[in-house]
This record gives sequence, structure tokens and C-alpha cells, in this order.
Amino acid sequence: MTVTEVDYWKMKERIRDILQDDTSNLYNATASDKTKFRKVEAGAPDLNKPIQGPFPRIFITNDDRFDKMTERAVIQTRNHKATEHRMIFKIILVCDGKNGPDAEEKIDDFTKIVLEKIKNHNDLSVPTNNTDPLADLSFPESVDILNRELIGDKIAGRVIKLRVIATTG
Amino acid sequence: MADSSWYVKNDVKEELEIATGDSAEDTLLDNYGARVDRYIDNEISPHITTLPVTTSLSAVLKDAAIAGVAAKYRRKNKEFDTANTYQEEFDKLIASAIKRLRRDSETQSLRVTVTRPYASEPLASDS
Repeated sequence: MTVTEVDYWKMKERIRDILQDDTSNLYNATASDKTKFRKVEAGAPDLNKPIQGPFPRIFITNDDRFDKMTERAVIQTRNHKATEHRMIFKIILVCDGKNGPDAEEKIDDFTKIVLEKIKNHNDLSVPTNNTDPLADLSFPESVDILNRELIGDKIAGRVIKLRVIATTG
Repeated sequence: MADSSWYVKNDVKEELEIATGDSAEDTLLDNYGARVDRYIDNEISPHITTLPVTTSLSAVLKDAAIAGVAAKYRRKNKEFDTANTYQEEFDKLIASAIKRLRRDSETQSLRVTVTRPYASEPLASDS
């Protein structure tokens, strides 16, 4: 029996594509200001240090233990039928501002836009034509601050944990 | 010595992984570039006796400008480890350029060989 498993990297790239697709509110690769994200990348930041410019930017990576699997099988024959994956991806947002409150306002606004965007594509389909869904369902599970030391700083960060459920067989 | 432009914006952007078309921080980078250019000029002008500088020396000073601007940019973004690394690179490049500008005949590695007639006399014991 041939089994096709989840392509984690493709999911990260799809989340990236979904976020990059919103060029009116969220992303601009040739920005002339900092009102939109200038970089949206799949993969953890260099040396796992997300505080690195240019700001504002997004990294899409995974949690430490990011996939829990549940096997489905037919009891009479013990045939493997399917695997349900419950994954957690991390969407790390970082931006800067003139001062602490300004940075906090910006990161809150950015977080709102990102949450709305990923909720609108909760099957992780291709954003331009809604084909090739990669998930049964996805939804933001939590929003955390990036680093307590940044509270009140002119650099602010958030970590959105995105729960992704997909079934393979 | 006239003021020089060692800072090249697109080279710095490439180093900082900023897209060429992304101009959100161009003013900031240009400001840093002007300051680094002035500093480089201050450091090397006492040692420059002939102009223009050689192509390879100019390349070293442009590399130094990249490192100098990157150090300021990273420091602003609180990336202190990376900023310090760039600062060390900047200092080394400037020091190497000055060392080269200050070389004299004793430290020259390029020497001129002159072939001349060799005159000898027989040793006293041979006569």
C-alpha cells in the first residue's frame, strides 16, 4: 500500500502564499513605507532570531512538537485506512515603530489583518483560485507576544499559532 | 582629497536582504551611507598621497562602507551581535586599507631587479 504523507514545507509555503496574496492590505515587496509587510518567508529566521530587519516581516515555521497523529484502521483486517494530523504552525510577526505604544498599535493592527486573511483561507487552498486545498481545516489557536523583553519597546512581535488538521491515507 | 562615495545603496540592500525595489528605508540607509563615507574619508585622507586610489583599494573601501552601514542598521534594529560582527569587519577593512596606503620601500613586496655587469677581482691568495 502506498501512503502519501503531509508535506510540511509545502504547507508553510502555502501559508506564505496566502499572506503574500493580499497586496492591498498586507504585503508589498517593493514598499515605499512600512504600512505593509516587506518580507513574508517560509522557515525560521537565521539562528532562530526573529528580531532582524527589514521590518515589518513575517516568518512561518513550526512549533517544537508540531504534529500529533491519530491512526484510523479497519479492525477486522487491521488495514491502515488513514492518518489524521493535528499540526501547529507558528506565524511570527515583527514590526517596529517610533516608540513602544506606536509599535504595539502597529503589531496589533497587523495581527488583526493576518488573522482575517488566514481565516478566509482555512483549507489552505491556493489563494488565487481556491484549488489544491492542503488542510481539512485550519484555525488560529492562540496569539502570544514574541518576547517579554520587547514589551514597551519600539520593536514589537506576535506569534500566531495556527492549528492545521489534515488527513492522509 | 575630495569627498568620496564608497557607499553603494544596492550593495548594502543586497547585504541586508532588502529587495532592490523596496525603498521604505532608503532615506535611512542614505543617511547612514553619508556618515560612513565621511568617516572613511577622515580615516584614509591623511594617508592618500596620490589619486585616484587603485581599483582594488576602492573595492576594499566599498566593502567597508557596506559593513559600516550594515552595522548601524543592525544596531538600530537591536541585532547587537550581528552589528558587532559588522563593526569588527568594518574596522579590519579600514585598518587594512590604511596599512596598504602607508607602505614604504621597506614594506613593499614588489621589488625591481636590475641586472648590472659584475666586476670581480681575484682573491689575494690566488695571485
